[in-house]
Amino acid sequence: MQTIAKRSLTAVLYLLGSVILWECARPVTELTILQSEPVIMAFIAVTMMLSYLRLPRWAQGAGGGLMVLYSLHYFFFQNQALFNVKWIMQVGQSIYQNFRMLLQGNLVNLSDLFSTLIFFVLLWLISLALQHWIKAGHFFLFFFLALALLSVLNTFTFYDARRAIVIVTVSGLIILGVQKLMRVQESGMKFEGEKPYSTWFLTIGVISVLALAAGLAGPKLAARWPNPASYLQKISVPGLSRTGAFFSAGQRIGYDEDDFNLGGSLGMDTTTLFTVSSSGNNDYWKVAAKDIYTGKGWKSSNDSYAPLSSPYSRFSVLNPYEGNTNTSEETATLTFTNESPSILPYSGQLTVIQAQGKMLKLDQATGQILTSDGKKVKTERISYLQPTFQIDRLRQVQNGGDPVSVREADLQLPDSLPGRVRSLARRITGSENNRYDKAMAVVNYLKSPTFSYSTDRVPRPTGNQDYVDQFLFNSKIGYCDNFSTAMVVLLRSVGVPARWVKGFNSGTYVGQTTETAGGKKVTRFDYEITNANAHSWVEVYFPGSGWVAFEPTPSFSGPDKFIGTSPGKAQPLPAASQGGSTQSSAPSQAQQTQTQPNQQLKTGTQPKPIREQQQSQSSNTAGKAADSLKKQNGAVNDWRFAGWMFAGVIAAGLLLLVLTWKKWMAAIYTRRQKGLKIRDRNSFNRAYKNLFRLLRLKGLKRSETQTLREFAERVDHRFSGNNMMRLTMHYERFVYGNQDAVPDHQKAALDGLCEAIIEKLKPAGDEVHSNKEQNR
Amino acid sequence: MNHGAEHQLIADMIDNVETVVVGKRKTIKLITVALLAGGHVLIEDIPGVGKTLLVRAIARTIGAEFKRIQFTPDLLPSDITGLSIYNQKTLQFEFRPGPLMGNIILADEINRTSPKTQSALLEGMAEGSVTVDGVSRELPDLFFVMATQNPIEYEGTYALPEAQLDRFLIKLSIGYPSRENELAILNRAAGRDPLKELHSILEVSDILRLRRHTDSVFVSDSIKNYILDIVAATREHPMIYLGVSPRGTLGLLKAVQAHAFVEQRDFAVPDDVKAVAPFVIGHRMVLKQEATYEHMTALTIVHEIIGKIKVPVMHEEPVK
Repeated sequence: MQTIAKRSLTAVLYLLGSVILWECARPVTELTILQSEPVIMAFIAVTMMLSYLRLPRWAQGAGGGLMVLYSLHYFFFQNQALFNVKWIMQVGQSIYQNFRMLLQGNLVNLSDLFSTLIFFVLLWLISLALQHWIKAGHFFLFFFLALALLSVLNTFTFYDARRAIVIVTVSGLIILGVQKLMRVQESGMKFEGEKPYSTWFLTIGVISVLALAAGLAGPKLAARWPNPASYLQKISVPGLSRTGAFFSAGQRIGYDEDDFNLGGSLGMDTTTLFTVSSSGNNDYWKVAAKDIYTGKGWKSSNDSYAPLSSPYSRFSVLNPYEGNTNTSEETATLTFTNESPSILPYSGQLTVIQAQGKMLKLDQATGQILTSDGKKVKTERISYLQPTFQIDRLRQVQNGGDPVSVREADLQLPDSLPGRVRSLARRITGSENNRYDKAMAVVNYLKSPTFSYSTDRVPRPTGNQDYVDQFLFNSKIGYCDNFSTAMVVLLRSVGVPARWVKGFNSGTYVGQTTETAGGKKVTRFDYEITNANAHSWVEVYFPGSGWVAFEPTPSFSGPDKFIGTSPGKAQPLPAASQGGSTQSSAPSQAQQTQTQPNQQLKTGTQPKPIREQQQSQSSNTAGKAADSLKKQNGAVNDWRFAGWMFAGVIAAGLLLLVLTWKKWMAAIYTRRQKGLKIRDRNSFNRAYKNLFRLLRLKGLKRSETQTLREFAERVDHRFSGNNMMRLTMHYERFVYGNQDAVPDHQKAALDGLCEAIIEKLKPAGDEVHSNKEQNR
Repeated sequence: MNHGAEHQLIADMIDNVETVVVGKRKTIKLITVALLAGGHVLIEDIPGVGKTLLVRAIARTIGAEFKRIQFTPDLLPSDITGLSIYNQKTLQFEFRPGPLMGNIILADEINRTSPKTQSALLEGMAEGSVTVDGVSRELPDLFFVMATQNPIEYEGTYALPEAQLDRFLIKLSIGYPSRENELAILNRAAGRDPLKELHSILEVSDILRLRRHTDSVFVSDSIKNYILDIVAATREHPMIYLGVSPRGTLGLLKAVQAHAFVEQRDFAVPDDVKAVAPFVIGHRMVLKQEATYEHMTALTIVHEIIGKIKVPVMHEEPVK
């Protein structure tokens, strides 16, 4: 009867413990990419259940390990069968690679798979610790930590943990109450009264409710200091400014929905998001275009989603080109990886889009296309018109002649824009008399050596500082967002309608395949697009030609193609292949961009022979150049980062030593004691002193006014025996008596006494444990 | 230096006494300490807790001549020292020894007699001789006084002056027996007088021999310094008007030696000092008036002092 009651009480403990653990793990589903509550819930339930069922250790270990693997499969390998060696091999490979990265101090590039693995292993460990605390009856620490965690999350993140805190508080109080009840029972006390249990539980309940009510109803002081979170965000350690794509709230290079606050440093992230197999070449992949500059970043005028159905040309945002632009139709297939966000990028003028037959919707303001239900798709097939602009026609465009909708949306500037930005814009474009040359003047100005490209050491505008103003006049260092935003603002300042487009650049050229479809040979170019390819650029409106893409970011080539010449321009078009080649000449396009002197200047690399380039099979040499630039910066960061890591490891080691000093000091003294043989006064003195040090580590310290005997009595009382007193009585002869040497017949006895005392000291922890085991 | 036989003798003696005086082993030990140290004992307690029984049991165990003097207000010095009487046959004064001329004297209710008579007793205790009719007469080698007095706040008493209290090595009180011990006393009272069944297991010469051994108990310098620390503290204590005299220090040393011997050791340890100090120096201090206001007694102050003095432990020799 007693055991049944105990088992059920334990069950209550495990249940409530699981609830608390769940509430602590739950923020993960909102703050990271692990957005599946049932999997984490199942994970906690299974590990706790294994422990509750008192399965043997190996079974618990195997069960936990399998649950970790299952969770990994759920999040990353759903497209593969659960019982398949392949994905397990991938996990193993990922672990190997990421461990190597860890050893190199390369925390930033750890893959999501590895982070997830670590998360689940940690969750498992915490669950084990929780089980131990439940069994041992020490629950308060966990309770306290859980509340601390939730409070911190509530304060510093957008996670609303108030409900969780209430649940954890009530569960924790009940657990503490039940543990007390069990302790009282174990101590053999009898309950009096007719219904002892119900009285007890009623009391626990009343106390919980009272505590909660007092907490909720009590008056609360207003915060005495500003939210520290805003301050913490400003602290940015180079190389650590990003916590990886794993945390959706982190600052990273890569696609990000929120462009409201731009600025700050970025880390590198080479997680592949999708691959493209396209008949076109070197296309940028557009996700959205935004029209309102706020002084800090970009937002769109309104979110008006419309179901997307053909013909797409009736949506003005999907109809960018006008009569003077030649187009050719291309097709592309985009295959998304697990890491990609829910996006449907496209290029040029969209004619057909299919996303696994799903209903799609279009943001009419930004041109962003999403599935109606917001869910991700695996593949996307599109057909689109790739433009070729005629420079002569573009040059004919003066200011004016823009439709009202364009004038209203794409000339907006905030009133707060500093006047010197406008003056600079006039100075740059003043000598040009047409829109195209004005745009190119701005591009050339931004690509001049005055500005340098970097993803780190980029400051974030503070206070009322304008993002563009800071970049143009103060920092003069930045990445695509800085350059593209600056160009849009400069152009708008002189009345040229322009908009800010974000998406991905063409990515890394992987290879090409030629297939025969319908009797025609079609060459398809394969690209891999990673988070590092996330990009932003500029589109300028030219009446008659439509929206033309410009690339103001150094070391990047633009997507659009131009026909015509630009006589007398020292700095040629960065975005265009001047030869006016057609769209079919795929790699040559890139090679030509590569040979532009501007880029050599930027990258500092030797121009490579074309042949060699072909062998390297990289069509996106511009991206590659950018890569090498990033690598140079990265090397510095890696070293600094390694330094930080090293310091961190040492600090952690020291902390560990400090926290466990009692244990290892005891180990040292115990070892030393073994070597101390009692032979004469001095050796006895040493051995006895060493014993005292050991005892002090166990919390037994002789006060100075205590005699040796009084202390020995205390020690013997604690460890039940009389060894210490016997040893002390011998020792007294040497301290207070006149004895100098140990008689031969006593030597072994004295050493034996020392050993017996140490023996009682040493296994104190294990002994308690084994007692517990027996009790169960 | 092996004192196994002597140690055994003392243990036997204490055991023997304890068969009569139930549950007062600590008191018996303290009295033995005084006996071995050659001092005298003042037992201050209310009537009826077994003072006389204790003394008689000890005397009987030793097999020594036991004399009892009941002090009354009209007792004269000659009543205890003895007096010379003119013998008409021999035409000479003959000395008739008084009760003080014994080995073990129980001076009962010493504070009820006049100071004049008290002085006669105290002279004997201090000098080992008494002067009667101008002739100094030696007391026996074993001369051990156990005086009792009722607590001084009782009426009709003459409080002993401080200088005289100093002559007692140990002052103690017996206290009520514990419940179990009192039950044992009740059960036993139904039978015969336990004192009659007590055999003597020592002789006076044994005690004298034990005293010589006690003198040879080794007291290290660290212990001597510990004693001096304690004594010095009594002289500096803010609540003490008059600290322990050098005679007290000497007495403490002798008591420590005796205690070590009673504990079957031939060297003294700090525990010996702690065990005897309250009983040896407690009655040698004169407290200031403030102390009584704060309800401090000599004993509490001694305990307080002992609680503050560092105990000498490790050997002075450098380690390593």
